[in-house]
Amino acid sequence: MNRCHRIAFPFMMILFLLLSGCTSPKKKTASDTGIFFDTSVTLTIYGEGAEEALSECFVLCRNFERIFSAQNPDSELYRINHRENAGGEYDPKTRTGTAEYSISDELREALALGLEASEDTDGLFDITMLPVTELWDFRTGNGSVPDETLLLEALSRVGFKNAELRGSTLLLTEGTVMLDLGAVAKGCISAALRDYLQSRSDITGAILNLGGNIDVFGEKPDGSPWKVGIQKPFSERGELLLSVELSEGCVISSGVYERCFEKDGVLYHHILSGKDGMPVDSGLLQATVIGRDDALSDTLSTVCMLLGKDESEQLIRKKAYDVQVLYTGSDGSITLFSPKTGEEQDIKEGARLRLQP
Amino acid sequence: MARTDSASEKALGSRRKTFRRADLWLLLLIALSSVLLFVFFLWKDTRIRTPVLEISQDGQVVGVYPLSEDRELLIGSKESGGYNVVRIENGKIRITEADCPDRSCVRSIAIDRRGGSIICLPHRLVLRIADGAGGIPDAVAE
Ligand SMILES: [Zn+2]
Repeated sequence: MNRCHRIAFPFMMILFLLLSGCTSPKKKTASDTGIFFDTSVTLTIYGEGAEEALSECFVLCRNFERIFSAQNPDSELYRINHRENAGGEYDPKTRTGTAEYSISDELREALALGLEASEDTDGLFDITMLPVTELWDFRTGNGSVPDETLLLEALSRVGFKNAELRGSTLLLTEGTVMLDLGAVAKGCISAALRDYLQSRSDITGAILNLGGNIDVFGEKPDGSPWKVGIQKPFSERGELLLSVELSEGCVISSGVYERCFEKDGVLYHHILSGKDGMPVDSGLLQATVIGRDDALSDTLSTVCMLLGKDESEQLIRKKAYDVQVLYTGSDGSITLFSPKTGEEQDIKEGARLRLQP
Repeated sequence: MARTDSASEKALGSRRKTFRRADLWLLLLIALSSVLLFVFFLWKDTRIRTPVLEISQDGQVVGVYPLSEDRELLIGSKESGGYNVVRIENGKIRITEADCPDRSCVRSIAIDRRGGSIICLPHRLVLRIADGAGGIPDAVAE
């Protein structure tokens, strides 16, 4: 090789590198909407591995459906609720005796969270509400109030103390107890999706929307903070009460306007009391939990709606949960509660809040 | 290149000079084309794409429509049930009619060139603005 080539080669290599770099000077984006567990899942992922990660996320969703779904006869939860292949002293003929199940880690984590919330609210939130929730139909908007005898029968089967976790073993001490992960599952799934995406070095950021539960992390391509709007109660879907800006975390709302119907001038909504199986009026239209732990925040949003503003603030303080809560009262007032500073702040509609993680 | 023959050494030497010039041209050509390509890709990625309405059902894209032309689309059939009527008017998109049980799609706010989506869960229908211009939140908590 002569001198000229010796000089030319490195040049050419550099130029070729420059050329090959041309094909992707911008970060890749992949976005899609899938429907799982009666919920729409919209994921937008940024980074070199976005497309592969996106399809992997939908595979994870599909897997979670086979764990958490109360309706899918193939799911782990369904089989437990219907005592298929129950271990322990359970007698299928009389439907009595303690049933024992060795459960998946995913189910164990969700149940542990649900049981803790049941304990903390003294059963106002109850992880074993399924017999009651199945009596109500909030999907169509023209449901009816369940028959009282049926409701009482279903309530007699509710009691979180009949479900017990010992390591990875679940004990169901009553034959008719059925678990409901409706307030926990979505948060557990988005937490798992986020963990997966963050474990990949070729993903720079993502925005996850699981049926209105929002989770964001990493960098937006334009470098600005993520903007998450909050649904205005009883308005058109997509109309905003206010919006929050954050660099990372989850924003999870629960409200009386989500799944409800009106009958004889009374609003019946899906936030049901574990005590009487009826919708709870705690003086709130909506509670939005902004936090880092999706599963906890999801559960807390329902717990806040059940307990009301003052009691849920007490609970959050007592447990030192790392969250902030936006309450919308029945009178339309909006309050931001930040336990770290102990502050309560009145917020105006249409505000743009910048939250520090 | 190991040559011992002196004649061919000489020939090579003379060719070296022309090689040098050709190399220079080649280098210049590559440099020019790389700069051109670089500029092209940069332009391709930063140019403003026109926002369009993308309609998908059961995860399959069933149609892409410009926002500039007003039109009304019937997705599904009114006779056999399971339909949604999509209206594009003055650049705004809504579902004006549907026979889904929750009617949540009909009660959704109109979307426009900025972005956003309308979903009819029972019919597994997703309307979304592809290449939205931005200026709306990244997502809405509900
Ligand atoms: Zn619909």
